[in-house]
Amino acid sequence: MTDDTRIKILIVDDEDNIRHLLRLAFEDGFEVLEAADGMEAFDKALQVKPHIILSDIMMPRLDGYGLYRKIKSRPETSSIPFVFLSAKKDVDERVVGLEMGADDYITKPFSIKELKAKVRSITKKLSELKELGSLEGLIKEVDLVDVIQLIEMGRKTGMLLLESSLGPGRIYFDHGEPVYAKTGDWEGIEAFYTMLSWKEGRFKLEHKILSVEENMERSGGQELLMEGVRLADEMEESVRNLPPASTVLQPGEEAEKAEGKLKELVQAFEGGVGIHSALEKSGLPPYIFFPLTREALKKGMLAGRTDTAIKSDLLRKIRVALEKL
Amino acid sequence: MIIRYMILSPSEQARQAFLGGLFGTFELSPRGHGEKVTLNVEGGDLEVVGMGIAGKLQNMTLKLLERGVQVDGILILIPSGDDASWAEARSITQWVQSSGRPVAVKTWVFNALEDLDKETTKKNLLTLVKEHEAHLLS
Repeated sequence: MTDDTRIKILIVDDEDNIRHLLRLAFEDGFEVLEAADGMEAFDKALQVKPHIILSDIMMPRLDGYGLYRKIKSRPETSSIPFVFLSAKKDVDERVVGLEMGADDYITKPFSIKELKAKVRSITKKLSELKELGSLEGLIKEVDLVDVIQLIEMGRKTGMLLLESSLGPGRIYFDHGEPVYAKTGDWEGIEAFYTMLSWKEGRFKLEHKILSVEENMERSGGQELLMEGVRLADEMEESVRNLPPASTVLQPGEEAEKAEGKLKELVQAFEGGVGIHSALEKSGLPPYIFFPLTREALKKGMLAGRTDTAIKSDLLRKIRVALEKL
Repeated sequence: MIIRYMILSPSEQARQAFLGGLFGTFELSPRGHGEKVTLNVEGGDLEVVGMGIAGKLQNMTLKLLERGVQVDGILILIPSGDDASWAEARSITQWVQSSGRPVAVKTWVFNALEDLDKETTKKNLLTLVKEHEAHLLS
């Protein structure tokens, strides 16, 4: 196994002997990196992007809590599992560490066996991913957000192929970072967010280095995922609050006030159109279409089409047909 | 969605002349005493149903409407001189109006079957459509 494929563990402790002890414990199965305080650790984390960080709490310059906050505040490092190591046995300290969101809190002196077991447990998914030639499965069993997180944590390079009832899709990752996405007519970030909302279908990661024309900004997968999850939640809530899919909607009394994307949306309902037909007609991605439709209904820019309106429209067509007889 | 109009006349010949002349063809009801034509347009159908028996025009219409059968408009064809049918037509019109039902009703008294030419029947049916539209908007 080359260094590139080994799980990188960053040990942060101001005591040389502790770092040495941990290096001996882990260098058999991991690539071990060291830092003597929080500041050094943070710089190293940004530079090397370790797969897991084991950190002491009491350290000069920047303590363990400060390091944790800095690591979690940066998109490129926020997904790294974090374990506090401390001589403090105080229960309150332990609670503080865990409440902050750390993956674990281990008190010194600790058994190396126990520590290794905990680290292995935390990195189990990563190890599995590393051992697999490809990652594949059903979206209903493994949420796409988790799949993408695994790819990100594993710094994988390859094409994630998706197949759902809504069509095929592809996301290319470069060392865990999504740089290209496409599904249907959507590309880049719109395609990425659209696919994140898929709840069924299959996925398969093909480990291949491809020359793709990047259509996504490299801004850190974690940040994209958080925004994607927020948009998917917003879309689901909007769908739940909309009338049934078969409902015919048409521009409402306030339609003329619509601007920008709202105007595009209202135009898709011109003449009275079912919600799903309007989705296709609008060309808007679902995570934009559904919340906008809800907003347009609330603002009176769209209105449910009544039987009377449908009948009037039908009568107009009948009149035209009769005149042609 | 279906829009259903009734061509109500005690004269089977008049009904068939009306439907045949305007639409070129019609179906006969399997049980007799009726005809039907369906005109398909985008988003729905116009169903024009011919029916009627002398002396039972009012009774038939009331039964249909009271049983909830969808009838959106009624065009009553009365041969000139058929005073009994004309009286029934008036009663039907008054009853529909007083019941507040959104049903358009028009009566056409014709002199001879030759009067039921395509252009005139079309004009009469369009008048019924316009009255129906006015009902919807009122």
